[in-house]
Amino acid sequence: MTVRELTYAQAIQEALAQAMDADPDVFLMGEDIGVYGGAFQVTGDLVQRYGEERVMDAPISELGQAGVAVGAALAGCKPVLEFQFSDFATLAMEQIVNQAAKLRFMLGGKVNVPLVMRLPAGSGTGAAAQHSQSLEAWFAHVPGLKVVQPSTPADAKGMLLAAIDDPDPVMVFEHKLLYKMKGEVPEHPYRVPIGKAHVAREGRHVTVVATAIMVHRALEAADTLATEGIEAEVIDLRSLRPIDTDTIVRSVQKTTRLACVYEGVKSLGIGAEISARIAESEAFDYLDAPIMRLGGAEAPIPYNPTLEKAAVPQVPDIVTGLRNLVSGRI
Amino acid sequence: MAVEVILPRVDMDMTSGIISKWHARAGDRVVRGSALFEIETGKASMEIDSPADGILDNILVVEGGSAPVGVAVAYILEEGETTVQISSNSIRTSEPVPETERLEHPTVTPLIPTSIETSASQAPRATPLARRLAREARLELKTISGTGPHGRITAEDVRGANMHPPHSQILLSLSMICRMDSLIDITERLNAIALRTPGDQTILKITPEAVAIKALALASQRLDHPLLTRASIRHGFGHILPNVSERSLSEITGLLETPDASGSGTAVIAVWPLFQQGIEQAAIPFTPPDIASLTMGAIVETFAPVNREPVLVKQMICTLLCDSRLIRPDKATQFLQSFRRLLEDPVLMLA
Repeated sequence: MTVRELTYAQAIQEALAQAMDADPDVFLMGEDIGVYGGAFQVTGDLVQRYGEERVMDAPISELGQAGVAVGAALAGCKPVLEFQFSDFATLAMEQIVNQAAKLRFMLGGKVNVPLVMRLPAGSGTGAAAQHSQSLEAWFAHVPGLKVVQPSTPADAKGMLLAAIDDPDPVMVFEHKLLYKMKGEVPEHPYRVPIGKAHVAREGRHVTVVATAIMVHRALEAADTLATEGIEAEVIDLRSLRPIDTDTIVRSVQKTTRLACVYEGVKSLGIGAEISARIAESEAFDYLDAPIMRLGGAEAPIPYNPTLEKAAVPQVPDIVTGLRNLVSGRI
Repeated sequence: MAVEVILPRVDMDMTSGIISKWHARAGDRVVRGSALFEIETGKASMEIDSPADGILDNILVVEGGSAPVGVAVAYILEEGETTVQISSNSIRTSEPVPETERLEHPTVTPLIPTSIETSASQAPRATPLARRLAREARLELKTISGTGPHGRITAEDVRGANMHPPHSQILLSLSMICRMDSLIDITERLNAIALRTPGDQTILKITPEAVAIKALALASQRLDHPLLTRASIRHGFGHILPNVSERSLSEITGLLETPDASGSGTAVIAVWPLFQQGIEQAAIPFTPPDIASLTMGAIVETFAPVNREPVLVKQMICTLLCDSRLIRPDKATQFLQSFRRLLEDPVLMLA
C-alpha cells in the first residue's frame, strides 16, 4: 500500500482542520487567511468549511492580533495565529516575549497560554530584506516559548498538532520554500513530539546538524559526498527550544566531527548554541576537528536573485565545507 | 594580519606533498583565487590557489622541497606589513634546502610575522579526541607528529604512534601452576544445587571461567598498587566486564555468555580463560591502554606428588604478561600468588 502524499502546505491545512474537528476551542486568526486563503494558500478553503467565527481575517496590526490571541488563550481558547511573514512578528514582540512567554511563570502556574503561532520564514522567494529573514533563534532565546522548525510535510502536520496540544506558547517556523514540497503524510491525526531531533541520514565521518530547508540541502550534499567515500550523518534538529542535545552528543561521539548548517545569520545563532553545547558536553573529548558553522551572511537578505542565493548556504557550499572538514583541511 | 599559505590535503591518503613550482616569488603581489603554487603527491599534481590578496613572503619550502600536509609553506602579508626573525624550530619543513637554493634565496632562516607566533604555541596542537587517546595510551603529545593543519595532532596520528610506540614495552611474563580441584568441585556443587532448584533465580548455573574471573578481579582489587587496585577486566579482545568483583558468579557467567552491558575503565587487564581449548600455556599480547593480560591454559588431569605419593589432580598453568614499567616484577609476583590462592581455595573469596 502506498502512503498518500501531500504538500507541506496541505499537511498544515489538514492538521488545522483535524484540530478544529477535535476541539471547538481551536480557532485560526491572521491576515488574509479567510476568503483569500492565506498569502501562501495554507488555510485555503478552511473559511468555507469552518466559518468566519473560527477562521478569522485580522486587521493589519500584528501587535493587536497577538494581544487578542494571548487574551483568548488565557480565557481557555486555543488560538492558532498566522503571521503573514515571520518578519512581522517583530511588531508583536511585546505580546510574544513579555506576555505570552511570561504569564504562566509570573502568575505562579495558575494560568496557561496555549497559543500557537505559525510563521512563514526564510529566503529564496525574492521577497527582499524585510520578508526573508530567519529570526527563529531570537525567539528561541526566550524561556517560556517553544520554537520548532519542521522540515517535511509529515513533521509539519505532526508538530503542528503537538503544538496545538501544548499548554504553552509554541512558535512554528515554516520555511516558505518548503510549502510546495511533497511527502508522505499519514491521514490520521498524529503527533510528532516537540524537542526530539531526527536522524535523517546515518553516517560515520561527520555530524551535520541542520534546520528547515538546510536539512534538504545537507542531504543533497551528503549524496554527493557519499560518492567520494565521505559519509555524513544529517540530523534534522526540528526543535530549537527545547534542543535535543543528547541526539547530537551521541552522533558526535560516533563521527568525531560537527558541522551546523542553518539559514539564520551565522553569528550568535543556532550554530553557536549547538557548538557550545557540544564543547560543554562529554562529546568534547571525541572531537577530532574544529567545529564548523555554515550560516547566513552578516547582511540583510538582498533582493538581487544571485546575491540572495549567495547570502545563505547552498548545496555546493555545504559539500565544500564538509569535504574540507572531513579531509582535515581546516 | 599575515595569512598562512597552507599545504592542503588534496586526497584522503595524502600526508605530505612536494612543491613542484611556485607561480610567484617572494615580494610579488598575489591575488586571492589565482594559482600560487603546484604540488605533487604520489598520485597527481595540482595547482593551489592563493588564499588571500597581498604580498607573498617568506617562502619556506622551495621548488622540489616537500612538506607535511597542513603546515605553512609561505605567508601573504598585507600592504605595509613587515616580518621579523624568529627561531627556526617552530617551522617544520622536512627537507633541507639544497646549497644551490640557498644562494638564490639568501633568507634561509625562516621569517614569520609577529602576529602569527605567540609563546603559547610551544604546546603541541592537538584535537580533543587526540588528547584523550594519547592520555589513555599514556603517550606524550610532544612525541607525536601531527599531520593536520598547522601540525595539529589528530586521532589518526595518535593511533599511528600507538602502533609504533617510541619506546617499546618492557614485557614481563610470569607463569604459575594452579591446582583447580576445589574450583571445579565448587562449580559442580553449585550447579548441582541449581539443577535441583530450577525455580530459584538466585542460584543459577555457573562456569569455572566465571569463578576464575571473579578471583582475578578480587586479587587485583586487594593489591596495594595504583593501577591494579582499580583495574577493570576485559574478556579477551571483547568487552570490559562491568564491576566483576561485586557480581555473583551466575551474573558473571551471564555476562560472559551474553554481554548486556559493557563497562569502561582505564587500567584494563585482558583475561583469556582457555580451559577447553587444549592450549596448555600461552602469553597472549595486549595493546595499550590495556596494562596486562592473563592467560589461563587448559585444565588437565595429571599425577602430582602428595606426601610422596602420586595423586591424580586437576591443574592449569596461568601466565601474566605485563609491562614491567607499570607493574614491577615484585608486584606482579604478588598479584599472581594472590590470584593462585583464590583459585586454589575459592572459599577465600568470601573473606
